Amino acid sequence: MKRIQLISFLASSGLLAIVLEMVRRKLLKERFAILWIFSALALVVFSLWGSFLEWLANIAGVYYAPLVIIPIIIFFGVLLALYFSVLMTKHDKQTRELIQKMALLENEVESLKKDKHSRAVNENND
Amino acid sequence: MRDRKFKIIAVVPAYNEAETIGNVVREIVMNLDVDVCVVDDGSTDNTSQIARNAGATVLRHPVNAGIGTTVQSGFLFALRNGYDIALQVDGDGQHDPKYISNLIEPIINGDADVVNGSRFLNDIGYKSSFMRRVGIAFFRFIYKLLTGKTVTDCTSGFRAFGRNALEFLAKNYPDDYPEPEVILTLLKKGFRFKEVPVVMRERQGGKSSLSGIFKPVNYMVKVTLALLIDFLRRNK
Repeated sequence: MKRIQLISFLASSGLLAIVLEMVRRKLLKERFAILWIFSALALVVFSLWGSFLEWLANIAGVYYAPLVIIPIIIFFGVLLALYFSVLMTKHDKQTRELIQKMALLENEVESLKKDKHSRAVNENND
Repeated sequence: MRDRKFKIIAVVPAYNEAETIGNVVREIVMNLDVDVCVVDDGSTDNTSQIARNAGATVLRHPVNAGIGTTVQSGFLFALRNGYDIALQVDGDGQHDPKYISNLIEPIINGDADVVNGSRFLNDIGYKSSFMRRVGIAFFRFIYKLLTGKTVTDCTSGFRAFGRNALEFLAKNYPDDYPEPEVILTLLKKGFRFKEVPVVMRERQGGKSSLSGIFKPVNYMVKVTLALLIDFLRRNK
């Protein structure tokens, strides 16, 4: 095994361990947990499966085979970032709606309180 | 069998069920000593109004949050208002209220903390397609593997929970596939689980969301992964 493969294997195993601990501590929603476990596992597999990397490097024209993993990781990272941007947009919309609904609710509560208070005052005066 | 009166509520999660929610609420309210809390998950029709008119307490989510959050809202309401048992009942009319007494009995007797209404304990009721039967057998196997217990209908939404289960669920409710995930989570935490046979009524309208081959297989894979995640998690 080349040295770079060993380092890669240790790093990706470390990542898998971190992800599993996060899952255990409920820091990740189910779908993200699944996503990250598969990603970490894929990295572990790639660090060990030398012949696959060599084949990929040949096709892509990368001179030093183990380095072909870098563009793969970058591309994957970009896709993840895009996915999270979409998710954040959805949450942003929901948050705005909630903020507005709360403002309207508070206003309703205030006016109900005022009605109740003025009714009580009127009864006392009669 | 009851030496004290149990306060019971049926939590009915609903999203755009204006057509059926009125009947669902009335059937329970008129025939049983059970309160109804309809949790409206941001419906765009007048589900809330109809439910209120039929005699239910209504919680309305300002935005759509998904079935997991919706049912949990109902359970939070149940806890806050001193209920001893909370049932989960679908808003589309598939769950027959006459089984409610069977569902709550083991909890009242102190034999179980959660009771699941299973369509497949007795093999009667509406006929299952081949894919559905494959799915049932598959999940039975997964549950046996992960918990050692026999669970015959993990996707049934017709169930009853005792107070200690509710207190746990108030802090731990799954998001993605709540029906199967909840059972696993409760079993893992050591709550006592029982199944009773129920017969569900035919879907009143529309097509099942899991028809064909690809969709059920896709569903089975996703649920299994979610169950594995729950198996790895530590719940307080």
